[in-house]
Amino acid sequence: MGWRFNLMSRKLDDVAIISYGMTKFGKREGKGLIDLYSEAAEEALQRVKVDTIDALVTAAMSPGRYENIMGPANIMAGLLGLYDATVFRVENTSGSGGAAIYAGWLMVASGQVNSALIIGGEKMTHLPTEENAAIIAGLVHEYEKKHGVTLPSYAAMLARLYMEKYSMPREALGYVAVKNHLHGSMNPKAHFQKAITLEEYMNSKVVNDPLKVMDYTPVSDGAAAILLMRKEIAYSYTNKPIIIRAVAGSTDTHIVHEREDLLILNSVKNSFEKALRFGGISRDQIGLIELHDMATILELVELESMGFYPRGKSWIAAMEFETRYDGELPVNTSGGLKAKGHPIGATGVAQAYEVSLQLRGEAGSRQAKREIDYALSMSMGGFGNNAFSIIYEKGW
Amino acid sequence: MRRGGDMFRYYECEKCGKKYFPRKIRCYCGSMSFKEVVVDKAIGSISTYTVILVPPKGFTPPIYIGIAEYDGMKILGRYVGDPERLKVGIKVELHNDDGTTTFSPIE
Repeated sequence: MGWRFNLMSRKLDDVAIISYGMTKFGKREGKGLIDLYSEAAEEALQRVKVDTIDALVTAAMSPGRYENIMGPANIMAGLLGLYDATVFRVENTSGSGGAAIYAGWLMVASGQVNSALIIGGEKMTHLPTEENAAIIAGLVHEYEKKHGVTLPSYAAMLARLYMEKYSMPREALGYVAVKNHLHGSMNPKAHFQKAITLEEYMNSKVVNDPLKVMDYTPVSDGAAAILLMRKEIAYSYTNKPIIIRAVAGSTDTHIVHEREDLLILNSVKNSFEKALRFGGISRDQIGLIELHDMATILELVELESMGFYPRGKSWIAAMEFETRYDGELPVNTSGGLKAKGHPIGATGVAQAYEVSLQLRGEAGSRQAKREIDYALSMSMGGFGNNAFSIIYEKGW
Repeated sequence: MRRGGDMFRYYECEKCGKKYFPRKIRCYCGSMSFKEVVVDKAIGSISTYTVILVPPKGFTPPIYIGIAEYDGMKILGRYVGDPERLKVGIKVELHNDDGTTTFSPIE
C-alpha cells in the first residue's frame, strides 16, 4: 500500500529516509553552525547521490543569539546548490529537530515535494556555561524565569517528587547515567566516549539537589541530517529505506506548575499515543527507543508517560539492564543526550540518524541485540512543552 | 530573599474553576473569563523542591525553589525560611502580590 490515512482520512504518501549523516558531537573548536550543518549534509548526500532536492528544512534553537546567524536555511540552500526549492527553518527549542522532521515529512507525504533534506544543529560551546544557561532560560515563562528556575532545576524537582512517591533509591538514576555512558563509549560520534562507574556517578558534584553533574547532558556542538524521499522512488536510491510510519506532535502546559500531575509528561504521552494510532501499531511492537534524557530522571518519566513501564517502576528496569543495548527494550543506544551530547537543534535529527543505523544493522558494537521491526524517537521541546514522536520501520 | 508581599492572589476560570497564577488569556477549557481572587492568609504545602547551587546569571546561590499546592492549585515559588526545615509536605504560607511567589514556613 503506497499511502495511509491520517485522522482526517485524507491520503498521504509513505515517506522514507534514504540517507543520513551526523557530525561528531562535542566541543568542535573553530566550527560554526554552518560548518556543522555542511558536514552532516555532506555525509548524507555523499552516501546517496540524488539529482534534485525539492525542499530543505533546518532546525536550530538560537543561531541568532549564538552566532548572529539569520536565515540559516537560506545560507545552507546556497551552499548546497538548491534552486527553486522550498526552504525554511523550524524552531521548537530542544525539540526543534523533531518539529523539522514533522515539517519535512508532511511536505513529502502530502505530495508537495518528492524529496526533503532535514538538517538540525547547534553551535554552543564557544560560550561559557552561564551564557548558555541564560540563552536556554529564554524558553521558560517570564514568571518562571524571575524565580531563577531552569530546565535542570525542574528536572531536580521531578526527581525529588519521584523518589518521595515511589521510594526509588538514589543510585537508580546512576544506572541510567552509567548505561547511557556505556552506549556513548561505543558511539564514535558521541560527545562523551567514556564509560563511567556507579561510584564515579555517586561522587559527582551536586548541581541542583538531588541531581548531580552526571545526571545532566553536557553543552555540545554538532549537527545531523536525514534525506526524505517519497517511498515509491526511494528504492531507486537504496534497497534499505527506513519508512516513517507515523509522526505526531503534542503540547502540554507551558508553565510547568499548571500540570495536574507533574510526573506525567502529557506532550510525550499524547504525541506517542497519536503516533501509534496514526501508524496502526501497538506499543509492544516498538523494539528500540531514542528519547530526550536531558536529565536521567526524564528517561524514566518519559518511558512511564508513554506506558512502556508502569508508573513508578521504570527505575527497576534500568537497574536490571532491560534498557541497555543488549536488553529487552534498548533505550538511547546512541548514548542519549546524556553521553552523545545535546547540540539543541541537532538532537531530534540525530535520534533519526541513530534509529536508521540500528534498523539497518549498522550500529557497530552498540547494535541492539534483539530483533527490531519498529523503532521510536521522541524529540521534546522545553520541559515537555512540545513533543514530537516518530515511529520508523524497515522498508525491506 | 524577602517574601513576595502580604497577600496571595490568583485567577480562577469562571467556567471550569481551574486556578492560575500568573494570569493567562484563555483557559485550557476554552473560556476567556477569569475572576481575580485575593486571599489574606493562603496556607499550602510543599509538593517538591530543589536547591539550585549553580543558578542562572544574576542569581546568588543557593536558591531554594519549589512547587507548592494550595487549594487544588500548584504554584512555583521561592522558599524563604530556614533551609533546615524545608521538606516535602511542610506547611507554608504563600505570598505573591509583587508578582513573585514566596513560601514561608508556618510557625
